[in-house]
Amino acid sequence: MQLIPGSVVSQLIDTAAGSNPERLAEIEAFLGIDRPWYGQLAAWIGGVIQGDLGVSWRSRIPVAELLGQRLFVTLQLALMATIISVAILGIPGGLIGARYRRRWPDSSVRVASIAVLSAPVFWVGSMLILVFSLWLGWSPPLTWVSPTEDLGANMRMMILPALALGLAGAAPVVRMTRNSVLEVMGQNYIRTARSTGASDSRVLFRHGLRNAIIPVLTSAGLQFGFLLGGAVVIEEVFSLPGVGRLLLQAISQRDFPVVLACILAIGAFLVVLNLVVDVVYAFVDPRIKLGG
Amino acid sequence: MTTAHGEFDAVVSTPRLRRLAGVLVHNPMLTIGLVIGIGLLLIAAFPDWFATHDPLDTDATGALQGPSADHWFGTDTLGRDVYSRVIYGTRTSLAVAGISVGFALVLGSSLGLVSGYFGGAVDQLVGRTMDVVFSLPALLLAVAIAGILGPSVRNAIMAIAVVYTPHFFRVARSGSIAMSARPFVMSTRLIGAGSSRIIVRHVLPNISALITVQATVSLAYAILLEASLSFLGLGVQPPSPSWGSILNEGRPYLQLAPWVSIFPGLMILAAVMAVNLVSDSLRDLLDTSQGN
Repeated sequence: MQLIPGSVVSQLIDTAAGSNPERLAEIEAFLGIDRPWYGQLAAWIGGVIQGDLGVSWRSRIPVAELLGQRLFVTLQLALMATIISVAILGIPGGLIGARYRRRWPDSSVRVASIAVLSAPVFWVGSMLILVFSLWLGWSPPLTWVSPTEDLGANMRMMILPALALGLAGAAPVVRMTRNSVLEVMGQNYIRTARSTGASDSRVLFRHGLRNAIIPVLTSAGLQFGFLLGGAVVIEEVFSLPGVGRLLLQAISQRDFPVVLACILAIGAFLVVLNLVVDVVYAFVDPRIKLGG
Repeated sequence: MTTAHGEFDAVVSTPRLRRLAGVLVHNPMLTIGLVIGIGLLLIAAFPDWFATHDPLDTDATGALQGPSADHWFGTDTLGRDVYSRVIYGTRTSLAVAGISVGFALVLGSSLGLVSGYFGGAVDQLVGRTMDVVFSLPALLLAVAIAGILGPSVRNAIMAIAVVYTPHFFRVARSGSIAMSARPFVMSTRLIGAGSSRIIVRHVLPNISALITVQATVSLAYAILLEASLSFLGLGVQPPSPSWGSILNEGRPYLQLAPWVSIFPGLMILAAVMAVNLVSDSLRDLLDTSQGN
C-alpha cells in the first residue's frame, strides 16, 4: 500500500491543475504533496496516530466526518448479511447436509451453495431488485433512513442488499458446518448420548452442533471480511451511502486522503473483528480460556 | 509402417483413455464442469462461429428490444445485439481472468518456493508483505489498485494478479517447506545438487498438484473479480464487451430492459460454476485437503 502515494500524486495534478506550472506548484504546496512520498506518508501516519485522518482534497470536509455515518451503513449491511449467511442460511443448511448425508436434501443444499458461490454478488443484487420491484411491486425508500429514525423503513431498504450479500457468503459456512458436524457425529460421546436415549434432534443440536461450532465461527469471522469487500459493489447497486461508494467516488476523484481512510477503516475493523471472534470462542467453548 | 505405429499408439493409450473415462464416469460433477468449460473455451477461441451479429454494430431504431428470433438476448440501449456481445465478451472475460491468474501463479509460486526453501530473513520479509495483501478483502483491494492506476484492462489484470499472488505464495511456501524436509531432497543435496536444481527439479514437481488446485480455485474468483471491476467501470472499457462491462451498461435500464442484465450474469454464473465444479472434483481426486 505504501507504494501507491507516488503514483497518485501525478494523476491528481493532471486532473486538478491543468498546465499552469505556478498554480500547480501552489496547489501542490497547499495539499502538502510537494514533499517526497515518504514525507507525505510519515505526515499521514503521524496524523492518524493523533486521530486526524486529514481533510478531503475535493470537498475540504474532514475525512472523519465523511466516514462517520457511512461507516455505520456499511457495518449495518455487513452485519445483517453475516446474520443471514451464518444463522439463517449457513448453519441450518450445513445441518441439513449433515443430517441427510448423501441423500437428496444434502445434494440440493450442495448444488444450491455452489450456484450462489458462483454468481456475482452485484448481479444477484440486480436480479433481486428486478424480481421484487418489477414483479412483486416492492419499492424501498429512495434515500437512506437511519434505524433510530424509522426502523421499518431502514429494514425495508437494507434487507435486499443484505440478502444479496448474505447469499454469497452462505456457501463456505454451509460447507464448514456440514463437515464439522459430520466429524463430530462420528465421535464416541455422540454414540453414548444416543444410547442414553436422547432424541435425534437433541443429539444433533446439544451434542453435535455445540461441539462443531468453533470452526464454523472461524469461517463466519472470515466471511465478515469477505462481506465487507462485497459491500463495495452492493452499495453501488442499491445506491446505499456506505464506505464502498465513498471509496469508489474518492478513487474516481483522486481524493487520496479519503481513499486511504476508507481502506484504513475497513482494515482496522477486520483486526477488531478477529479479536472479537477469538473472545467469542471462549464463551462458546468453556475449554478455551482467555489469557491462559 | 503407419498401421504398426497406430497399433502401438492404441496399445499405449487405451488404458489411459479407459482410466480417464472411469474418472469422468465416477465424477459427474467433474464431467459437467469440463463440458461447460470446454464449451466456453470454444466460444472464447472462435466467437465468430457463434455470434449472429457484429457486437459493436449499433442500430438506433432497434434499441432496447426484448429477446426475439433475430436478437436472442434482445438489444441494448444502442441497439447492439446482446447475444453477440455476450459471445464476444467471453474471450475478454476469460482472458483477463486467465492472464491475471497466470501472473499470480508464476510470481506467487516462485516467491513461495524460494521463501519456503531458504527460510530466514527473505522468508520473513516476503511473508509479511504477502500477509498484508492477503488480509485485505480481495474486492476492496482490487478496486483500490485498479482505481488508483486508472481504469483499463491492463490495470485490471495487474490488480487481480496482485490480489491472488499471496494465495499461490502460501501454497507454494508450505509445500516447499514440507518437501525440503523430506529425505529424498536431503539426499539430493548430499549428492551435491545446487539449490536452484533442487527447487526446480525436485520440489516443484511434487507440489504442482497443490498449485494446480489453487489455480482453479483462483480462476473462479478471478472471473468474478473481473466482472465486478468491469461492472464498476474499472476494468474493460466500453465499447468493447466483457460480461462485467455489459452488465454495467445494462444497469440504468434494469427495469426497462432486464435482458441486458440477465444473460451476461447467467454466463458468469455458468463459467464460475464450471470452474468450481472442476476444482472441487480435482481437490477430491488429488486429495489435497486444503481448508475452506
